[in-house]
Amino acid sequence: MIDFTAVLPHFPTLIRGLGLTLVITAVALAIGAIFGLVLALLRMSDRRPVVAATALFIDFFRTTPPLIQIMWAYFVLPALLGLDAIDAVLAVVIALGFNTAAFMAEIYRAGVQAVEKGQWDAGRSLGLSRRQVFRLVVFPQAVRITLPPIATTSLLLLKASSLAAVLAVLELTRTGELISLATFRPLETFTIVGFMYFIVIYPLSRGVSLLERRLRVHVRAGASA
Amino acid sequence: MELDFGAIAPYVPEILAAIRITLVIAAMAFTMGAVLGLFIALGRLSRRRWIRLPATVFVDVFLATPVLVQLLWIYYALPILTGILIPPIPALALTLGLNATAVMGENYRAGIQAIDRGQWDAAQVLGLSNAQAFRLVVFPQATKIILPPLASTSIVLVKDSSIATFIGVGDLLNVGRGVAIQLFRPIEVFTFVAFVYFLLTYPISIGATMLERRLRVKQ
Repeated sequence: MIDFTAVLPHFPTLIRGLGLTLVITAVALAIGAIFGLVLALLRMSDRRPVVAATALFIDFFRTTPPLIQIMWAYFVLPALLGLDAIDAVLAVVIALGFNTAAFMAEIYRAGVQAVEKGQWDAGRSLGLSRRQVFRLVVFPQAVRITLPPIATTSLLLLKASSLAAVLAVLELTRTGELISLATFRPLETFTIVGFMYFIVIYPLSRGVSLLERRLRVHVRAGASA
Repeated sequence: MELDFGAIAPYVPEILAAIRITLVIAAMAFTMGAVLGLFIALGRLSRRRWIRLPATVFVDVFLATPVLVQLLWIYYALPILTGILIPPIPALALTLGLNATAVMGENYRAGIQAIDRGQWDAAQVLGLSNAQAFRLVVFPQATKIILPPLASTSIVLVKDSSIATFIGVGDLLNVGRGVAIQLFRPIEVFTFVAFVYFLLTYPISIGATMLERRLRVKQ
């Protein structure tokens, strides 16, 4: 018998789990956005060894599962740093933050490179310094190109935060696992958990599609002008 | 603590055998996604609402929820609805396969929609049927747009298959985790396992980049 009321008393716990899911996502996103920028700048530097090392770092984080990155941060990182242990939430945030940084770096780089080379030359010939050209000419255009993929990456991160369950972090998925064990109601519990993710992610993903369409129109209008 | 990668050596065959499970699951899911994705794409492009709606709901549900929750649902909840128990490996392959179906369906759709309407009209003027126009004119052009994302989907599947750990499947990560605990050497084992994943997926990533560059030049 399907009986959603059996899970109802646990709903506040699930809401708390969703709260932690959102906090993990937000912190990892902040780490990813900032550290990703550093990686992108290193990746575009003039020094070959720096470029090669950064590219390897980025590729490693992009091609290995985030789940092993989480385990690595929790089990290996403290040993390397000479600590006894680190907090599970901290390990998750570091791992997912670095993972997101690797994707962000490639998005930033694609954005900067998508802006035509002539823009740099034009800016320079108008007497702007390299830094000014970047800040006043290239960056505003690159933002338009990078915004939709950044939003998409954020949603992927929100979904990946469920992997924190492997370290028994009480985010939404792990909370759901525990409640399904306690109530013997996996069908009802996981349906509610899935629905809670959907309620958050679906409107955001529709927003991303809208944003994508709007920005595309702008770019096209700009190109024909 | 001193690093000793040699300590893993006796367990390497066990870890390598687990690679097979990881790759078989990813391959099954990929095949399922590549085939069913086409139906989803055609369903979403259909003019009939009763075909379009379920295809759209399917895609939205699978893209807007974490794959881990989908796995827990299919492994623990679906048997309650159907009365049929699903062993862990098929449950994982089914989950990743349905996920890949949604992703590839959207990918196919984008590829088909990117082809100019004029191509359809021109094909019809030449006397081709709708099916012929799709097969001979639209599809070959759409493959250029479809192929590169297929490569990244296969990488995602290899990575996502690591959630096997949650339902006790002995895939690469889970076997590695067992060895790490047994040996008390998490540093060496997790680093080694991460490196194995890198060796599995990085060549695909390089191949995808090269393919993308070649296709772009042709256009």
